[in-house]
Amino acid sequence: MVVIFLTFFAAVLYTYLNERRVVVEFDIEGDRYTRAKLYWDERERRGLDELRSQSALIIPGLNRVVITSAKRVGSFNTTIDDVLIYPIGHPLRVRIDPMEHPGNFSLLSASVRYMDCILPIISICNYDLLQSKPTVLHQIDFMASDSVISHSLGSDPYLVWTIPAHYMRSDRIYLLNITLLVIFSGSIWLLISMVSTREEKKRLRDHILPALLLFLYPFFSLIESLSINYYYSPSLNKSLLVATVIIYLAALLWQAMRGLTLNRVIRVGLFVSVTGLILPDFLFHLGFIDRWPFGREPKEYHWTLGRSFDDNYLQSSIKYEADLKEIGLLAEKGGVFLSDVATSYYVVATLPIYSRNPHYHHRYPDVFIEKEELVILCSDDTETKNSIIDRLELGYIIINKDRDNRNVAKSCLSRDITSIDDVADRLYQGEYLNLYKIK
Amino acid sequence: MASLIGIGLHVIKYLLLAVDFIALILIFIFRERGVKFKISRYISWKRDDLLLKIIIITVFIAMTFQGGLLDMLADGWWHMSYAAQMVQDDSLFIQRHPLLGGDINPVIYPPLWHLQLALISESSGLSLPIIWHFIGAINAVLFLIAVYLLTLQLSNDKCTSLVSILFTLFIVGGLSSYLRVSPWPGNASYIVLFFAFYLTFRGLDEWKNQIKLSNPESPLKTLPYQLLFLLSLTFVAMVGLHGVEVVLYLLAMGAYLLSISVLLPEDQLQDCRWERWALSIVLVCCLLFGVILALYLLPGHIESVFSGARARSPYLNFIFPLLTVLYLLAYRFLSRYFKAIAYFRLFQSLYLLGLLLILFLIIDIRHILDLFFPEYIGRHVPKDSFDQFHNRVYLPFWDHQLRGAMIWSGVITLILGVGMVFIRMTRMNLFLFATSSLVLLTLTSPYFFTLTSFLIPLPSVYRVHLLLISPLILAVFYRQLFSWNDESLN
Repeated sequence: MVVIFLTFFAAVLYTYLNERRVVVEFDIEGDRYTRAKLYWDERERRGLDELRSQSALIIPGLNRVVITSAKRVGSFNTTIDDVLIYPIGHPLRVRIDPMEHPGNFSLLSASVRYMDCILPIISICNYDLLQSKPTVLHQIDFMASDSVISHSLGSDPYLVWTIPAHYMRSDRIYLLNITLLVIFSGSIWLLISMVSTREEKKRLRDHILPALLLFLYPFFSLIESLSINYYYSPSLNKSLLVATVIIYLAALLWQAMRGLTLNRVIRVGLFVSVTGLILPDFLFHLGFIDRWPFGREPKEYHWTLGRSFDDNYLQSSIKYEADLKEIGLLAEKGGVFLSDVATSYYVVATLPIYSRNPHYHHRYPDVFIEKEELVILCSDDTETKNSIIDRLELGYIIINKDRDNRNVAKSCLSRDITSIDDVADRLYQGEYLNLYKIK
Repeated sequence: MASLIGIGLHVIKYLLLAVDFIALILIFIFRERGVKFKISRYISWKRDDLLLKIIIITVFIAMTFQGGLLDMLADGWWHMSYAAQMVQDDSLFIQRHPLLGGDINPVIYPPLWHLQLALISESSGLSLPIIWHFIGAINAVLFLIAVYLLTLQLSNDKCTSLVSILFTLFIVGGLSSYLRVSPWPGNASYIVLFFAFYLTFRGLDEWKNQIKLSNPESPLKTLPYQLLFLLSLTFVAMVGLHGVEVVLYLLAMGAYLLSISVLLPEDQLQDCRWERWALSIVLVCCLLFGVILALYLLPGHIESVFSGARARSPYLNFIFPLLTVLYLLAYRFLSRYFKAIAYFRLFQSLYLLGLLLILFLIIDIRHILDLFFPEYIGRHVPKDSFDQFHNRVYLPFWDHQLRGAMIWSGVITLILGVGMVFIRMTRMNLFLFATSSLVLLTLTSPYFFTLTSFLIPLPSVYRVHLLLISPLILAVFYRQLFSWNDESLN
């Protein structure tokens, strides 16, 4: 009875904590490079806007794109596994923008998955959008029922579905979860009873201390609710619920066989909780998590398994050393040069010449290039270019041609600069760096 | 001095070689006379620890590849340009801005680390990016050794020490696991800070032994005084490398002194009276010397800080922290009185209630919630606001290196660090309690944060979180958790 009661409690708790959480997924193919988008309503915030949207690039003939709903808070953009929260007492609205141009597309599947289901029984836990009629069809001229093969007429085609309020199916999901979890734990309990001796069975009835382990899932839920702005994994949530039940029953068996004390149960609980909380740190370093899930933590600051010297070599000045040596012979000591931000730092860390393009927080009054001036330098406006060169007292321009270095490739000075010959003469042409002397 | 008499890096390089040569001759002469120099006398660890050696060699090899040269455009390049300027000018101090070339104050940043890099570059002919890359491996290993020594000194347990360096490799926060950033001057200084903690506790232990033995040897020849000399060298290094870490040392040891004064039972308090005296003298001397140095070197900065909005009426940035510390200190005296009149339990309950009320008043709950549910996104300069008394206060933006450190390992170790001392009153737990409580108050109380900004530049106050020594806390926690036979945890 205790096992059934506690399992019943766990199932209700799980369903309650995950109620109203849904994931929208759709699978799309297009006939041209374009971007597909998903919009949705969230919580009490009504209206479809960019804050509650997710998009993906469609490449024709190469792949299909599956887009799920996602939540954005500030600058934190979470990805694939995230959920949206069903609005209380309101129908959920979902909008799919299949492409941004006129053309053909195939919507192969589109569904809403209810995350409070422990097992995804399709008839209760899924809402198939393709089986229901969209409430709005904009700039789309054809639609079939199984997979939508359509033609978009304008540059803003979209489909909107309105899905009935969630409480309509809550009771069925509660019932499903309770039934599933009770059957699951009951089976394990039956197995334990079959293999236990009479003495052990007597002890099993007498000890319910491992029940404390069932606090593990509520504890996880608390942590999850505090972390949800950064990270939420429905699959982890479900796994932990099932694992808690297994751990509880295993601890019960262990206790019956070994006479486990309360103290040790608490210690095991503490061990599992603390280890679970610090586990992301380990997974991050071991390369299982690609980026730090809680906030903006630069991955580059940390050692990770699988990182090699190649990363440092490709994204730094080491491979430019031969070019820098030659430039050092040609450029006058104390001279002033202009280059993209990254190359500016690479050069001043090696040669006795000075830059005019530092990071914002390293600027010195009046002697740095403004953002607008940088745009002009990347254009064909020779006259304005000369005035900027005079103001900055430039003697040289260094162009970095490296396309593998992400830090360099960001700047227009390495990418878009045109007609430099009208303001400077080339002094040196290296494998990566070119040196120009201002006329 | 060298700059004043016009000696540049080029000459210094040969001078250092000459000094090394003279030192070798002196060591040889002293050895002949029976005096032996052993580094193990000051820096001691178990030589038979194979696992430690394996970890350190593995980390060294791994870091040689992963290195300190980040694959992003970070401020390390600014530091390299600073050192490059020293090499190019053949000078110990720079005269021009390292990036832009304009005239500047010769000390725009503590120059010791850049000087080291410049000397290595000048002597070896290697470019600074190459040196920066490989020095990451050396600093990473030095940091692990410092963590190991400190843990071993405090716990006297090899297992805890090994586990602590494993956590240092994996836990995000402080300098832990930031091994690729270890060539930064601040991080190099942080390594010295750990050696300073180690030397302090080692010195205190050796001093206690000397007192017990009533050693007739001249004080200056004894190990505690030699350790004190080494400790003073670490202060010089920290000031020259980054500066902030000296203040972190003083704050941590001050908090530790306060913790043992308040929490230790009467009988144990008597045992460590020498320790308290020694720490008090070190702290007072450092503080006086620091004030004199600051007044001499940075008079303009001191004046601007003390005439700014955060130092004005109603002066709550001074009053609230001071009252909190006084309240904590009063516990010892009041408890003695209430024990005598047999109302100790009632007093304890009321005292705890008072403490909770004070914490409720000085801690910003919304700021704590902002860690989990962010509303403000900002970096570097802390967020400023006025409290309900129209007092200017500051608090850090969690986004500035704090959120990664706090969620979740930081939050959990903060709780454990504060709580473990109430389960087992060891010196390790007291030290971790002191540093964790300090971090808790500084990061969550606008008054403590703002007060700290009188000691550390405002944008650097968030660095107090470096005193949350998560690897040690976790190592001690797990060790105590699995002391199955130890019934003191029951």
